Amino acid sequence: MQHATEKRKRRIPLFLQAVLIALGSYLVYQYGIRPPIPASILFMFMVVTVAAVLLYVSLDNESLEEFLRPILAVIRDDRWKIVRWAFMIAIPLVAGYVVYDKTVPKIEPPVTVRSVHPAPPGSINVRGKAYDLRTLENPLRKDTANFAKNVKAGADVYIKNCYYCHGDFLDGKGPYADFINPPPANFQDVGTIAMLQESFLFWRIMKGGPGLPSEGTPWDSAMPAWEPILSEQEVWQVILFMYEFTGHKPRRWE
Amino acid sequence: MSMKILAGGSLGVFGLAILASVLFSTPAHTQEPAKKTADQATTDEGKKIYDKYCAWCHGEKGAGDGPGATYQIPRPRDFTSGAYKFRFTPSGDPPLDEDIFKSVAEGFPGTSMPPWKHALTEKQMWAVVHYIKTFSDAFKDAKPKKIEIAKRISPSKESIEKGAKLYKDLKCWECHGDEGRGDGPSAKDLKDDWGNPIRATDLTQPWTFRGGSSHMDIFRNFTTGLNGTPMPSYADTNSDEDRWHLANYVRSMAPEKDPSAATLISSAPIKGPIPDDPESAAWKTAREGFLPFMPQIVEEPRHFTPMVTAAFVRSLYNDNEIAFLIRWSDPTESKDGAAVDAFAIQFPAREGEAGTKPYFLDGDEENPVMLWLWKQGAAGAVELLGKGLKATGPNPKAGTFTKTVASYNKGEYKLLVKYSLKDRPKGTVSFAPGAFIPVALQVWDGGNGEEGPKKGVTTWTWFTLEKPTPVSVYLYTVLAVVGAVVAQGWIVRRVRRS
Repeated sequence: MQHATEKRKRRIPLFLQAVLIALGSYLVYQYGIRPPIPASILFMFMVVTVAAVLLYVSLDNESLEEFLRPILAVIRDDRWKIVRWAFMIAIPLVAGYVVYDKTVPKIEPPVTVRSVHPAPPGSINVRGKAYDLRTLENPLRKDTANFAKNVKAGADVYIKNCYYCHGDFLDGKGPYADFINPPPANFQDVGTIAMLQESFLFWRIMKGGPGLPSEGTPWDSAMPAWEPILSEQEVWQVILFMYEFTGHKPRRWE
Repeated sequence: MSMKILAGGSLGVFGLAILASVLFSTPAHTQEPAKKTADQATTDEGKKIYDKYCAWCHGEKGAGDGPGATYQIPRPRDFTSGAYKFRFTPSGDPPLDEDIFKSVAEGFPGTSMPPWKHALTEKQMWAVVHYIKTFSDAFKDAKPKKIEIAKRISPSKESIEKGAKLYKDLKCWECHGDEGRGDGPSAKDLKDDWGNPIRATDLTQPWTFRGGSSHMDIFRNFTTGLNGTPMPSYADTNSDEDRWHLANYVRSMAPEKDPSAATLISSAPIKGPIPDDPESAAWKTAREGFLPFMPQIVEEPRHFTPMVTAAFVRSLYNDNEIAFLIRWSDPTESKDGAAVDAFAIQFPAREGEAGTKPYFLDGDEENPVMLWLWKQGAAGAVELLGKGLKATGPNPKAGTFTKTVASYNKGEYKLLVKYSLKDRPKGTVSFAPGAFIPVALQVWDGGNGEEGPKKGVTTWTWFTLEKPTPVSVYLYTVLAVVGAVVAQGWIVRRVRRS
């Protein structure tokens, strides 16, 4: 009997154990998980954890009593008067804050739904010339003798016109990239030019933001229509360059 | 007892599982060892990388004359000179290898030079460093010595005050201006060693400091000077303490934390009249939004060399009026001539259907915009109708500006416009509280030759008039507090009696 009480004394009190487990779990959920989990999931995890802890401490009367002992002591014992009053003031304040925070109207702007690669039209007109986008290919690919020359010319076009937003690594991080919304396309990403045909790029470059269908939010895009600025040849050159630089291959007609 | 062990055990397993998921989701750290010594193989590799990524702006021979250099201010570095701005070596000396490496890795904020650490490996960047050095004779037999950094003095009030006095005595204001906005009397015609125009840094915008915005970065600049620019070294003329005081003062000109672009500008409700004085306390109750400008490079004539980088916006409204208070840095006040300073706030011209907006650049024929334009020297703001970049004209349904107050002081504009909300014409934006309205800003710096389509622009962001908080919110809050007090009292009484 003597031995048993000594052993019990050295153990961490049950109440403290429960608090430590709940706190430890919270820290792991909040800071230990990468990428961070949403607050709603964290809340659910905490509910499960706290329920498990309460279940654990109330498995038999003996442990429930041990768990409740410090709580009851704070309420009954006048040695804990200051702590008792601290809790009795803090709890209503926290309750008030939570209710205020949940009921005060939040200002949340509407979410813009935007299709990043909307379906292209069947054909486009560029400076009076019609192009059938379903069969259009980059004519410079056949000119193997001048391939390197055309890529170099494309690089010149790119650095004089495109890098301001799309960046000199073609990763969409140009000097003005942070100032525009939606952000410029990242050509290094496998989700952009790597999954598109060259004719799609020709359309996007020539007609720019204003040429997008409405699901592509043409009013928001800062992509210029290059039709009045660049020649047809320059546009095909810059397309060649974009694929050469990133190492991506254009999607081909099957 | 066995149940207890089971419960405890399962808790442990739960924790372990989470711990394991954390451990295994961390990406393995794979970094090639850095190559700090130059040999033929390294410079050869460096040339390959340089030709692919750097030559566009810095030129194949490193003279800073690549095809991309045409429109850049500041110009790309000319490596043949061996003059580098940001170094830990004495004034006039070539930089340390580490200095060049840091420039490549971190880039220069506010310029065309990006941080390459996101695209290149450490080994690749070191190879480029060694290749860049081959462009200049300055590195031949040079053994650059690292300057000693004196013990930092913390930015106390006394230190900042001493720094302010030094700023005056050393005539920093001649270029950087009395309040640091790069608007000093000598700022206009500054040239670098190559004869290119160069601007005095706006010290109130640390996020554009090329060499970094920490106290240490600023102290270093005072110690080494910026080679090739009019910014001298103060190592010989002033003590270490002086330079720390000065660094502390310069950093104190802007908040510690850089602002980030606002996605929502909100107008706060106010009871009674909206004050005409921008300094009045009522204006402080409105949240300030930060919006950076992109030069208009979308349609010809395009503008590649902007001056005004950003604007700060506040808004207040009451039943009769809505008001905007906007401030922005502009180093020159331009009142006369073709190019005068100007500012515009843009909204859709029509109460739009949800989900669509006019084109962000002055709208178009089908879906026009309303532009509230203020021009330096004009009597007040005017309302225009925009149907495209080159198609803006008077708005037949224009509203009324009840007040326009504009001031220019020490490199900063403050513009206050008030607009009547009474009797809005049918079909125009009604500015109803709670509605979300697209808003965009435009700015012209006459001193930088900006007029017409040559201007700074933002894309659309959201604007809303905040609804006053409903009384029910306070009611529920009070109820929650009272409820908690009562429930608590009941529990405590019960426990203490038992």
